[in-house]
Amino acid sequence: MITSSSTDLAALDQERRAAITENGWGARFTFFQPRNLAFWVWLVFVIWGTWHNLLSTIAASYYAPAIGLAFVVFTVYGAVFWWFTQHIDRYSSQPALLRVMAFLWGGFAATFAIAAPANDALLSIYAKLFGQPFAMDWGPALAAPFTEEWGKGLGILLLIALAPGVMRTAYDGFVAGAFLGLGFQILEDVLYVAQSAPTQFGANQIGASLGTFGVRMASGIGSHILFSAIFCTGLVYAIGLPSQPRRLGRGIGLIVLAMVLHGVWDGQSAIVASLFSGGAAIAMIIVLMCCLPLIGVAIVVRVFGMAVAGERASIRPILAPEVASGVLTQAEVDAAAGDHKARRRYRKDGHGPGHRHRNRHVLEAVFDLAHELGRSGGDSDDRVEFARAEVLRLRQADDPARQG
Amino acid sequence: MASASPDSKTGHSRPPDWVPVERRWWGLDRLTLRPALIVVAFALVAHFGVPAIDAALPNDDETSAGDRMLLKKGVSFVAAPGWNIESGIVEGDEPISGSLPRTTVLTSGEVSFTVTVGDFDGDLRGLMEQLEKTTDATNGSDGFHITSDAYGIRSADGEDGLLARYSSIDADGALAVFLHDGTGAQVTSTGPAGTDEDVVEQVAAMILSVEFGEEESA
Repeated sequence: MITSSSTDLAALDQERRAAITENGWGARFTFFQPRNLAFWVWLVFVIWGTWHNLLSTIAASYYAPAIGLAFVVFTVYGAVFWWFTQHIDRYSSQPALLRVMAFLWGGFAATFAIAAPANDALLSIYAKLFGQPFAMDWGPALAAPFTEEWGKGLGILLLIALAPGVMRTAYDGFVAGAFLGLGFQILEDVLYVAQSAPTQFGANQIGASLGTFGVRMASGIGSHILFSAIFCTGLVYAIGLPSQPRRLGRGIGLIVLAMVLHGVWDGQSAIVASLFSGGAAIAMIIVLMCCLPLIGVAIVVRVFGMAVAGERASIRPILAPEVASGVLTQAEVDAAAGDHKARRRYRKDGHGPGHRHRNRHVLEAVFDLAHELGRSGGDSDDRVEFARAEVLRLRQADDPARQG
Repeated sequence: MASASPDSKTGHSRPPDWVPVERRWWGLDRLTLRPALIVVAFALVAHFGVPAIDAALPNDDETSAGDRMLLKKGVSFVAAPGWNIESGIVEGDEPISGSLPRTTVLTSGEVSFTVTVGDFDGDLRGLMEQLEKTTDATNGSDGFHITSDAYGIRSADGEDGLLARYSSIDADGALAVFLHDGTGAQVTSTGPAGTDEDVVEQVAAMILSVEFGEEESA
């Protein structure tokens, strides 16, 4: 017998399935796609870039202690950024394999097959056309935003062609862009260390590169990861996707913004020197070095908020049947679909010992349930049932901290 | 995610990785051609196109008589006139940022003249030994190596240095080092055997013109 409530549930279930497909929740991804030209292009350029990297590493094998240390240090450093980027990807998370592919494109194809030869040539062209001083002052700022941002950013086109079911929204561009930038950042850091290791004629190579380690780790916060996240969000807006209406103006604006941020970062000494002199110039360089990453972070947080809005909204239809059937409360769905303030409000809500801890666990379990529903396409299988049971268990727990 | 809904005509669901026959071009999914080719075009332009433009542009940045080339750490030398500046900064034409290069490269035909500066914690003989070790390790069996004992030289500024023969299987040259208060300068000049005597004299004059001054801050 069909009742009004079962009809409502059926309608909600339909909306849930549509939201899952539209936003790519739980969409699967296959690495080997022989009929997909993007797959072959990705493979050829990553192998090509890796080959170039290998050749330069072998040629610089005398500096193995410094390069080896750089690989270890920047792998750990990259792992922290990887964890952070994965942590903020609460919604229709991209498959790990796709993130690895983004990282490898940024790290090997964009660096060694695209940006490095183009950068060298552009710097030489600027020197020939405008003189050596101009090339030293403005060359990096007028080369890298074009070669590096587009080299990394075009990786997004390949990822969209490789995983059209996953890459659905500007938010997917943001996250994949961050991983493209992370790959570029880590391999560029290692390259910079390799370049600074010979600066004492080959002696004391680790000591000679310590400054580079410090500068690259400090500047990495506001560098390639951030630029690429903004650039790729813009690129997705500019081209539009089935679930992401085309916003050409916004897209071009974000692309230009990422390029300008990169250009200002690379040309900060020349910019300051052309406006200030003496002690004021030194002070301004220090101010700019501190402020630019902060400005970049403020911008990327804003872009994240813009891109994530659709993803957050998609949580509601996915979890609406759970509210209707009494598995979840509206407050829990509101928190899951809200921003960090909404999540914090939810965590604080309530009384008694350990309520914040409990609420945090419940919210995590709500996200688990959303991901399981995405994976199953909205069907109720064993994992979905278990995720529902977990929400109930954690909600009833008095003090999860004491329960281990 | 659940599989796609069944086709209304066949009643079967298309597997997600199945490319319909009418969408194929030489076995490839037509939908993937455009994005992939855009990336290929950009990458090829970056890898080959831009360097080709650079190679086609002439470098006519020649030194004039009395030009002093500036490097990091206050090191400088007087360039012989008529040499091409491949990379380097001439005194009086410094970048506004004040940053100077660690390496300067001049060329005259097939002859190149390179000065590199850096910190070195040791004595002059130690610097020459370090460079012997580094060039042996990095230049390969066919590359340039120090092939003679080093003998003492003195720059026009009164700075003591060492000079040794620096050659490969098909080219010859010299490597000189100077050291002043922990700052080292490595000078290498290479070219084909039988290089013009005038050019050799210019190289010698440039080596002996190396000076250590105060490093100017940006």
